[in-house]
Amino acid sequence: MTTLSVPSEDSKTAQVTDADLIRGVKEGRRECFDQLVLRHQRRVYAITRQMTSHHQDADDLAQEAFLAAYRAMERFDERQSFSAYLCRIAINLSINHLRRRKRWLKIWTKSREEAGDRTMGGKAVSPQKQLEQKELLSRLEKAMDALPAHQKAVLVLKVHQEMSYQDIAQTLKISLGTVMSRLHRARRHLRSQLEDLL
Amino acid sequence: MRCHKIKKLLDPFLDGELSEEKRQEVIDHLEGCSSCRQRLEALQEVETLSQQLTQAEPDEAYWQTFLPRLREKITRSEQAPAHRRIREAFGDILTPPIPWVRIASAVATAVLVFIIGRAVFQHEARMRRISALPKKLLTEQVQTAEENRKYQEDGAKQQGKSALSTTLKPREEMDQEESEMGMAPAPEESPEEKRSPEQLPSESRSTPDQELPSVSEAVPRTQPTPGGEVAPSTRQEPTESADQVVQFEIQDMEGKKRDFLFLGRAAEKTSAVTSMAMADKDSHADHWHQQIQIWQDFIEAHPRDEQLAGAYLQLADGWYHLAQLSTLHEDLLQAVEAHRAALDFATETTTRRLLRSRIQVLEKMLEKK
Repeated sequence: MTTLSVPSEDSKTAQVTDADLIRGVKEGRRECFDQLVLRHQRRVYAITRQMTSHHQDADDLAQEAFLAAYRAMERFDERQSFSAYLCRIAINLSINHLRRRKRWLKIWTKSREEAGDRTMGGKAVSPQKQLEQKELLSRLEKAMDALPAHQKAVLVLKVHQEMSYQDIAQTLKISLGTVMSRLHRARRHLRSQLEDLL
Repeated sequence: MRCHKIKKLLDPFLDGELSEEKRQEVIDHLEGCSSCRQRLEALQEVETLSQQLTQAEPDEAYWQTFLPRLREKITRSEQAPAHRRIREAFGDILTPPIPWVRIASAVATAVLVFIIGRAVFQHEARMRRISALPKKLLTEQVQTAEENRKYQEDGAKQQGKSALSTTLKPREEMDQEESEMGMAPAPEESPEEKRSPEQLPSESRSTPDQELPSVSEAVPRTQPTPGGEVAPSTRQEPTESADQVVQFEIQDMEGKKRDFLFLGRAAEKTSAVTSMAMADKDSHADHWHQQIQIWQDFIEAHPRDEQLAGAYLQLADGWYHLAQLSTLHEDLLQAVEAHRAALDFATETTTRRLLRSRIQVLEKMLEKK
């Protein structure tokens, strides 16, 4: 479990866990929740951003995820992983958002326009190679666009959050087999879409 | 291990999720299988590309505003009314994101409300009708008895005429009438005697004051004598009619009970016309005209065949007596026409026989003309 130095009034140097902070929130200490936010905000945002590919949507969903977590804090069992809990909220909100807005196509089209923002791994490549990479990424975006939300969620957690199968299963509250099958189907779909270029 | 088993393990192999033993099995297989190697390379390339497809990280300014904005939202949320907090918490459930689900929900709710409302309304109306039924029947019986009494006092000098009794003619009288007309006595019962409650036509409701009476599929209340004079039929006592009404009330359904009572009242009115005709011979032609007019209006107003059958019989009866009184060619032709129309609707054997015999009488009169 993640640990950090907590700016507590009692001992600013003490190492506290998420569970400690959650207990603090339950006791009415708002600053404990602030600490939880500071600790997990980047990860939550990364998930929502990968899922939506849109900064404003990702920001809204990340804020919404923390708000939902705060509302449910009284009922949350601190023995469980708060990180996994937050991820689950963020993923579910993102899935609902994608279904509601039906904006996949727009999102990925827009993301292509924002290609300049995207990092390419920092490797020095020839112009021809860059062109090929661009074409590949463009095709990959389209392929991602067509992925079902649940498959995309598993892919995001695995590829971008580098979570283990077990953690993904725990986060999304699905079985290990479901994680593997969704991941396999997602990758098979992507590969089939890029087959002629690989 | 075979290729199809290895294919299933390539994803976990790539993700480092295999046990050491399984991992070694995959490596051993890949060394000797080029197709599985190619598959793994393609997987790795897709994975690499996917990892490259990262989104731009927001700058630090963004992260400095993230927590204050969240705090503000939390504060607003805590100050919001309870119903708004519920809506925010369960927004997706309360307002489904997909438009057609929202539309379908609205339509389903409307249909459900309509069905339930209609069922409740029908049930209440039915209960009201049932609870009101005995009172209505009682009222109508009293009204009928009162009208009978009035007609008896008014003009119908002869026999105390009950309305329903005009439609119920004794078998002996029928036989006598037909023998007088040169016909063999009918082997069947008279239509009135045979008529069951189900055969009685249903009518529209009318008050005693209304001019348009209801109709029964009944034979005429008066029969011609061989001399062409109109003689009143023998009638049963009003108490017998009342008994029958009560009996039918028990046997029949609610609507038919009402029809029967109105049928009695309609016949009563026609009977009054007949009685008055007998009382005032100078003006009885006008009374037959009145009867004809009543039933013609009724035929125009009523589309139901079961009612039309009785109405055409009454109309034919009116024309028959009028034609015999006036002996005008025009009236005789109208009478024949009315009898043929009534014949089209009549189903009772005796009634049809009577209509045919009258047509013969009328045609003979026409020949003489």
